[in-house]
Amino acid sequence: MKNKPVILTPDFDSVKPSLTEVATIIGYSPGTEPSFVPEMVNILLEEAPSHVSARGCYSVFEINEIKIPQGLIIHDSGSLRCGSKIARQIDGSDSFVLFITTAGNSFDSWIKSKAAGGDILAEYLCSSIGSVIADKVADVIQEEVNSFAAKTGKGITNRYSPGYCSWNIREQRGIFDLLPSEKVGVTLTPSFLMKPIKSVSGIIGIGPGKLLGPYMCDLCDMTNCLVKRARGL
Amino acid sequence: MTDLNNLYDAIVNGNLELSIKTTKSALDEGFDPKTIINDFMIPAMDKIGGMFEDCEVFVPELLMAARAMKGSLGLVQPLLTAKGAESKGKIIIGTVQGDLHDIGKNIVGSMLEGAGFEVINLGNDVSPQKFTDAIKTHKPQIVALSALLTTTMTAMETVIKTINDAGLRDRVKIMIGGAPVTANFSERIGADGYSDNANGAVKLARELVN
Repeated sequence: MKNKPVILTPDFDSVKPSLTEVATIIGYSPGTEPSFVPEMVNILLEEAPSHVSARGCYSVFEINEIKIPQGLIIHDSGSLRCGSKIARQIDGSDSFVLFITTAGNSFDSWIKSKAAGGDILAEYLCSSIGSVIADKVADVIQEEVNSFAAKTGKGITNRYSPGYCSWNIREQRGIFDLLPSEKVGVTLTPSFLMKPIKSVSGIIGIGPGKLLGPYMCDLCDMTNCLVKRARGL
Repeated sequence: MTDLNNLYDAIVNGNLELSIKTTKSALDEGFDPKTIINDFMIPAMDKIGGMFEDCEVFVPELLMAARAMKGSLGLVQPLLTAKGAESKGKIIIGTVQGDLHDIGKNIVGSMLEGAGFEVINLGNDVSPQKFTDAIKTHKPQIVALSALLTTTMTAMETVIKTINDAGLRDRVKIMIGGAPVTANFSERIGADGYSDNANGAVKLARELVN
């Protein structure tokens, strides 16, 4: 599997967000959302399948060396600058997966159509649904990676994305240079923004004894984050 | 007789229909439009805004409240305008060049409208020239710039420089917002203020026009 890209085209049902997942990404604790939120989300989820073209791709790379102070991972196809915080999390891994996922171009168009109609709330809820979908494609990849790692007695780290945990978003270029992003329809703009907007890229470490840890907000220095707000951090 | 506390509650609860119905009754009964706005509608938005900042409610409630507020404002504002009252002010808002994020900016725009500002939304990926052209055309009191990425927030500085170079800086206040924006950054690029959330943006806009 090493370096050979894997392309995923999950169907809607396998990446369909639950109400709880959408409510959580907005900031609500389970069950605290006002009734109009699930009502509107349910309506949007019924419309969603014709607008979703979920895709994902990933590749495995062997690690030669991790330079934590420099935030650099030297691997079999070059090097990846991910910042020292992420490098520390990947340290101990002998390989890693890079991935790109998306809810698709048509999903972005759907969000824009809501904005054009003047319904900012629908636009916002669609956007939240799209974020969950892109993340759920990443969940599918993570499960696949975890499963093949387990076959060799290994485990995986949490996944990390550029723009978080001090991983400079400019270094997202390094991920796109190593993956066939065109096959999943995701491009990187000169300002390092992924198009479609509802896309995610990132890294997962693989190694002996590696275990998924809890979601660690303290690793990330983002101050204006809804997850942190909802957790009172 | 209409109980205007119902209007306050309707806005806080994001109930558009009740908000409009109560406002209509109050106006029919001869309530002063200015009192309706200043004593009930604005305090209601302040209340929901405070709840948002305290994480008691989230963006959906904020948008529903703004929608209810706008519904009532649509009835009250024309009466004030007819009496010669000035609007809260005009704001040009846009996401800077290179950035395609729309939603945060649209939420802020919607909240500003709810607070009685006239908002001209230039969209996203807006060039510095388009901002200066819009200042000349619309003569706003405030220009609001949005960016979501560290790679695009630098374009805010270019917009401010272009506005300076066009000799328009003294005519407008400039506020900035978006996830990566900080007070230090705002000061460094010569903006008049920043906010990292929609309610803060409304408060800032009120301060800037006063």
